[in-house]
Amino acid sequence: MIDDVLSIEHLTVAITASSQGKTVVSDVSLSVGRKEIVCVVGESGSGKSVTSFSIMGILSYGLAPATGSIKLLGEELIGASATRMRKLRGLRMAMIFQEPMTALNPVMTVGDQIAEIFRYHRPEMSASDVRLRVRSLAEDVRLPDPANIVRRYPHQLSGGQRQRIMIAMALALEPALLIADEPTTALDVTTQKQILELICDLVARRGIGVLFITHDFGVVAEIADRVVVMRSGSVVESGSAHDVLTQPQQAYTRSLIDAVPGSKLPKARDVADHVVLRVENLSKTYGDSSGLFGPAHNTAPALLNASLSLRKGEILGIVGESGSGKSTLARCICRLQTPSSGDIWLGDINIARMHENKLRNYRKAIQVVFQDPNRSLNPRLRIGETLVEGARNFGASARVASERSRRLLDLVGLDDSALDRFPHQFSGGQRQRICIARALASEPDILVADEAVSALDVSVQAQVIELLEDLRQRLGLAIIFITHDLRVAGQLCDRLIVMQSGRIVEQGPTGRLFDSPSETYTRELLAAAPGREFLASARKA
Amino acid sequence: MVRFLFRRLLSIIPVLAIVSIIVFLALRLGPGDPAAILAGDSATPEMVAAMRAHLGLDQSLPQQFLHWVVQIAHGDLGRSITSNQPVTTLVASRLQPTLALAIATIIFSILVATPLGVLAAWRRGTWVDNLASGGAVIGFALPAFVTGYLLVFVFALKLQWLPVQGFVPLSEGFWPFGRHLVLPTLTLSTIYIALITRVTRASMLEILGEDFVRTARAKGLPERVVLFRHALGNSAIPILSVIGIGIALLLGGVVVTESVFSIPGLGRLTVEAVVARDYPVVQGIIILFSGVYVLINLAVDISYAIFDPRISY
Amino acid sequence: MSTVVANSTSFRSTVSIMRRHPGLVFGLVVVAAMVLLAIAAPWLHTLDPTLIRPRMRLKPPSSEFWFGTDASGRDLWSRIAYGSRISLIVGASVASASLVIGLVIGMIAGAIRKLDGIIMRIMDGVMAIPAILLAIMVVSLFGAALQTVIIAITLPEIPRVVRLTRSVVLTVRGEAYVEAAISMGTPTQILMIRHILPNILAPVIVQATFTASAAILIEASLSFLGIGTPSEIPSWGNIMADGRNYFQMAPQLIIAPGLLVALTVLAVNILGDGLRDLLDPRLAKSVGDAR
Repeated sequence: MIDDVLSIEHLTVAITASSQGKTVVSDVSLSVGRKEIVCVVGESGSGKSVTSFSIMGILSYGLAPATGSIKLLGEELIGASATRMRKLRGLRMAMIFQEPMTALNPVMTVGDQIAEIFRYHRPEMSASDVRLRVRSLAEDVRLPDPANIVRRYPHQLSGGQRQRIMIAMALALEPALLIADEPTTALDVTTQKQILELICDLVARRGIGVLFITHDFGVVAEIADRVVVMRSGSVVESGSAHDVLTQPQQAYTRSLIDAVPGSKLPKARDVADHVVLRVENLSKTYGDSSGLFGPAHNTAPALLNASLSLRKGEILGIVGESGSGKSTLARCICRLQTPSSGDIWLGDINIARMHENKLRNYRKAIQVVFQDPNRSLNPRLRIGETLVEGARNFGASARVASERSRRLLDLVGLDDSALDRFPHQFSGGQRQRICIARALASEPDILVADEAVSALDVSVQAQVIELLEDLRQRLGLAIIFITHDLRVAGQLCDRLIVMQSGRIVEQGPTGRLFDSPSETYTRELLAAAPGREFLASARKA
Repeated sequence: MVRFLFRRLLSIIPVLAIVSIIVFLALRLGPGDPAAILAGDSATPEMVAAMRAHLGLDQSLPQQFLHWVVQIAHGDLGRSITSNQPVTTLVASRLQPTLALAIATIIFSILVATPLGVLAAWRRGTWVDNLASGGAVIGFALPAFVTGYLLVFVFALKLQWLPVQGFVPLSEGFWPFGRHLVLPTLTLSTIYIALITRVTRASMLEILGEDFVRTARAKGLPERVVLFRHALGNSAIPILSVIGIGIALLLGGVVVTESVFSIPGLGRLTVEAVVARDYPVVQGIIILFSGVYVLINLAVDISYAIFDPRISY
Repeated sequence: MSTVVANSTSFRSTVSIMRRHPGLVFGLVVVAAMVLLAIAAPWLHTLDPTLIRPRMRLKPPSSEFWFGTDASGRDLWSRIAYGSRISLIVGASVASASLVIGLVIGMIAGAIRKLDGIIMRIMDGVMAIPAILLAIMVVSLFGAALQTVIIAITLPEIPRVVRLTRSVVLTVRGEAYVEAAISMGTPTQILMIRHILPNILAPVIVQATFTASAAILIEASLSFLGIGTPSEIPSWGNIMADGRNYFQMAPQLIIAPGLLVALTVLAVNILGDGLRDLLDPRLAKSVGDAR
């Protein structure tokens, strides 16, 4: 197609140090037209980011394109000189990244970072012209108070504002191609919605082509014209967004779409009346003990007057964006932090401010699973040693503890051979299963899962969620499930608590909350969930 | 800003207090009676007792310490046992050579090491990098006395370009002053250059892997801008901090270097005082050097705020 | 996922480690050679290193005196061979003493919040005194004996180990697996020994190698200045101190022991770098730079 902004044919990217010609991307072909958003979808290790870096010519140390062709507006990029590539970057193609905090230079004002593009690509522009352009770009991406905001440093802006700055930078020289590498993954869901709208709007107004990298079919459903699905460095399937979403040809694509949280309806379940945990007016303010030489602390409470109760066999979801206090609440409940005030009742015992020595006896009842499975297991201990610790701490004999660890491994779907291995020999999903097994070793009544599936690929995420559901049924476990993703929560939880700025905004049964939320903020959150309409229609089908 | 400066100034007080307690206790609790030493070998017990009273040694330890600290605060570091001159006078008379050597070394080292480290990181894995990194590892292992004598052997004895040793004050002309300073500066710089190069390279490598460097490249900026403005600008703090910490190494190196080149500076004074068991002089120099170290690192700390807007006042 | 359990003792993996870390091999070989030299000194064509031969002063190298003789007619090669003992003893003693003491203090500082502030202020104070000067002060007070020199050099090295240990303890304490252990009710002592100690050991051991090389360097410097190891003991620094006045006539008196000091320090440093890359590449940055 002549109209293509970008066309990639048979691209292969190899590891330069590998004598066997090991590749990370092999035989990838795709194209992007004007005014078109093409989504490249895949899980981690699929080669989607490497593909986009090869287009820009900014592959990291040790990787290089081996064969194939990348044409930008008809011009071949593979083999182009470094000088030419530098010209094209910014001028014809631009890129925005996943983490806008780290993608901006922390010691330069954001305005300067936009302005320097003009300084080196358009040296003839006067300083005052540059200033005007920077301002109008800031207006274009709908930043508030553009005149002032360009004088700030990245750490003084919010995540969404930083990503807008990145977009302003990318659009500075009006390139034909914008590559967006998971640009909303690190953002809160309401901010994600605004950024997606902004990108769609810019495509319509300026006619640029967008190559949008994502792992989330929900996002695909929102914005894509066409879709390319990648796995292990190769293209699995491609086609128009509508076709791929409604009639995927490959089983792998099907499984990715099914794994999007919220594509299944939560079932109504019966829960016993037995209350295992009652939290009353829990508050936490950080830094209430600042010394003479300590840094100045802000004293806004991270958690204010949170109350909740949890029944045996119930899964309670706590949903909120970053800074909502959901993690503080979780950490206070498992007493990894001491709350400033309020009560935590385990039966008729209040553990809220109990001293560590006494608390140790009650820790048995509440166990926790963390977000990052890579850091949750002691790298120097064999899995067997990790699994017996909880039981041994509470007086089980070595034999009983080791028998129990075998049973637990079986329960989370791993076999005995895992006992003699070290954590690094397992995948992320397997490690998270081990973490769950470890948490169950002391036979707790309550499991706190703090963003326990957020770091996992969608397909693995779905399996771990199934496991939690299974454990609840088999063991009558009560689970507090903390997440930023309303869709995940909706799929698993009986009841939801929505938090914002340290307070509980709304709580109620999942179905009621989804169908008729009473608070504005809950409605906003629901509306912002990507792929909502698509998922709704999928559920009906 | 004022509050920040005030807090930082306050924070050096405990450090200086610990330093003075260590120095004070070491001399008071060490073997040997200072009064007996001061009174000399032929002193009678009465003379020693008189000396003890004169020095305030009959007071309790805390009282003595307090007395001593008040003295230091007034700029009085005591008197030398051997020459009976005030320690401050002795120090002042030996200050110029040491100051000249230290300043020349710091400037020379920073000018050589920073670009070298940047280059090595930028050309990672090439011969330039291997040469710079390898040189840094070797330079870090070379003791000042080895470097010094090797340099003397080549440039003074064989080539006869530069004087073997000695020091000429600046008042006798810049040329002789400079000529005598070249070899000692090179000697003292070796380890400092090695240290700064190593840290510059390491922190540049880390920064070059950061997302914002990728952004800068994605914007199509020239490589020199990416390297110096974006990467080096963000490496400033580790580099500055190693320069500050390296001051301790430098002050230690001064003692050896001055000895190799027979430079009549504070380092030589230290060695002379130790050999003569002239404790007040040793004490005074250690307090002085530690004070300089603490103040330089305070300055480095405060300068962080200039290089990084995230560090708030 | 690999199903092969890494067996670090097997011959093949040893070879592959050696191939990937040539520095480690170089460092080990040189250090081993030094140890061999120190142990086997009496049988390596050496004479009595302290025997004075008034008629044999400043002789050039010959088949009898491999490196020639010094100003008192003592055999330079013998003195150097025996001198290696002093450097190695000092290096090993200072490294192990500062490692053990620093590790204990550092873990206390990292574990007990109430003591943290006091301990670290004291360490800051000790670190503010340049290492050589602190050593000079201790030696000048307690007189020059080998034990005094070792203590004098250990003292300024302890705070570096404490600082490193404390910072790694604090990092590891924040790791999710430690929090998981806390929530499992693991008692503090077991937490420190089972979960924290094994995960902080690698960087601290690496630091110990750098301490050893610094100690060798400082001992040589002190002896060279004439205020270290007693001058009758043939240490490399003392040999150089003796040779200073004859540098123009017999430069080998300074160059030979000097280069050996440099080679030893270099080998131990490279060994440390290699260990660091091998044991814990993630922590590569934090150790050894802040010397």
